[in-house]
Amino acid sequence: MGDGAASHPAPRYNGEDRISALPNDLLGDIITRLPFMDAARTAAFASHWRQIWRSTPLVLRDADAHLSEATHVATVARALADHPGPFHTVSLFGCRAASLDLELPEWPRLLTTKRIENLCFHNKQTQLQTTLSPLPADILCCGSLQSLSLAFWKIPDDLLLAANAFPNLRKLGLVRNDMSDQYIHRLLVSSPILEYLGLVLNGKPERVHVCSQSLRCLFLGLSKVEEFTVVDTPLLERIMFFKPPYGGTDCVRFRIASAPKLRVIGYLEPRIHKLQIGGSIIKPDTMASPGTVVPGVEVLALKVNFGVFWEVKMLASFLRCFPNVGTLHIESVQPDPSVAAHEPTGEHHARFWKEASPVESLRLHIRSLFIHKFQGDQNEFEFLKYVALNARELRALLVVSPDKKIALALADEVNEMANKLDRPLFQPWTARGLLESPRVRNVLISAKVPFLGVRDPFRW
Amino acid sequence: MAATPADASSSSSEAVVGGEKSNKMITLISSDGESFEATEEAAKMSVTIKHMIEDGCADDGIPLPNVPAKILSMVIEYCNKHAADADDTNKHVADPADADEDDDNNNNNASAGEKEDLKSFDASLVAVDQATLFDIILAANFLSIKGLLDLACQKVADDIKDKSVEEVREIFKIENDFTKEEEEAVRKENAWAFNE
Repeated sequence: MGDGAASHPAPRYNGEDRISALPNDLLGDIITRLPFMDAARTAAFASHWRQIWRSTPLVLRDADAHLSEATHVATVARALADHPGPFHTVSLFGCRAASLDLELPEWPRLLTTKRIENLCFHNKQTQLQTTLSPLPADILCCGSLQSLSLAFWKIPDDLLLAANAFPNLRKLGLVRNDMSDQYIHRLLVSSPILEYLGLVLNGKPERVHVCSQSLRCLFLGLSKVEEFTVVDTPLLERIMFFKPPYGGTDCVRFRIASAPKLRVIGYLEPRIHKLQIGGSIIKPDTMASPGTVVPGVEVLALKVNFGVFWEVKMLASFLRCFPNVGTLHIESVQPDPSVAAHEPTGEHHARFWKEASPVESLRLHIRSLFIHKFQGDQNEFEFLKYVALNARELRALLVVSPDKKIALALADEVNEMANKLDRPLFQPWTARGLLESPRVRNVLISAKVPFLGVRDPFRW
Repeated sequence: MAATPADASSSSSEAVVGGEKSNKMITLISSDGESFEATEEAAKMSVTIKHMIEDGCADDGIPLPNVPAKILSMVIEYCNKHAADADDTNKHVADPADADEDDDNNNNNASAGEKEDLKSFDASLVAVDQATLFDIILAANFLSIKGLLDLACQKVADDIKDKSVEEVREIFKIENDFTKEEEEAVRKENAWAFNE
């Protein structure tokens, strides 16, 4: 039924061939949703199909194709060589650069000449001690790139990088590369319209600073990083921390020097983040002052171990740094049973909250409070009581749990607590139970960046 | 009669972010002359219709000569469902600045139950015979409804995935008009794709 097809009668088929009649661009759309080998095979359906794959910008994701280990790299190499371009997306998680070099030595140049738009090359690591492959200079000449994610590369300081190397780059991900803070900075400078930056760092570099006139979202999985400073980011709206896929989360001094448009930040953890705003390190007794607040933040997420009194005090301190928060997420971290049991009791907590100096966001701004993974123990409830008594604007308290029954039961407890208070609530509200789902969990991350998967933190 | 987002528990959890939702109903006319009504909000999920509304061409009803009634009613069902979802969610999350660019005109913040509902709705919408599925694709393409187009194209791709060339030809009634030599040549050209 396709145009120009041989007009033999087709007695085998008694239906219309609707698919071949679709416009080629829709056929291309459909094909590029297939694993790339399936997509290439469509050439054999009929003469109408012969050129569809080749004339649609290439989408190659090796993680989606069922490639055997033995032929993985060779097949990828053939596809890259065969497809005339342009390249829309090439995403490689199962290849090591050294192997690809053998199969297709010109692959870096190919990416440039075929005007690749989205490149993700995470060198496959078989052992953590493997020496890292050096990044080919040609990658830094792909001016067509709109998104780039690199993992496990060696990027030396003398690798050539043009001043305007990435005029179209909007998303950049750097995962455990051997590179200096200086080079990260140069990449940012070479990317004048960069909006999303993701960094997964494991001790290298030890100190990082971020400076970008265009950056809007920052995603950080930091491990063994001493200090991280947001220096000058006039458009930055969101900072999102997540647990890096490799390594643990160690303390990091996190400095916010200038981020006037910052609106969303989470999950901050007092245990891990030594927060510094401007020149002031936030401590349990830090009182709010113009130099220690980030007034634009409206959505805040914190992880707190309510079993550690110090963390509860830091919770209050952190909250004071963000006086205009309207939506607050608090995740309760499981107390570690091995931690010394001489932590203060619930009475202590009650007194602390009673005597705590005002927390402006709680008093005046918070409208929605999400509590995640709460166990319903006394320390948590002392905090919730404080909220119930002080939050003038609170309209919704949402209890989130992976178990719906627990969520509902806890919500009931909260409501009971609220009803028993000596003073009436400022606003009538009812706690509701919500089943945890990726959507609720990612409510901070409303950009389309599915980070929390371990395998591919930057899949896009 | 667009309802204001009805609250299950009356006064609690009032949303921020008003945004007036227009109550206006838009009339859409299928290729076979049937008229359908949709809220302006739902109708605007179609970029094509959105532009027509904004250009003031919608007052007497919008004729859609490419879209038969059976398909148009499914399209409207999709738009109603997804427009309502995008609206509902601000009940839960009072994040006023949650206006993200991008094509995520699907569910942003639905609670889990609603999300499951939407997924199964979408799945059943495209679990139709081939002819209908392709009609939906063409309609979604013409009307520029990205979510629906993605959904339907993905369904077709899922039907092709992991199948042999012969199987796909059979399912979609694709006539093999290659000569034996031609077909061999094609397979050779892309040999790496045919070796497993």
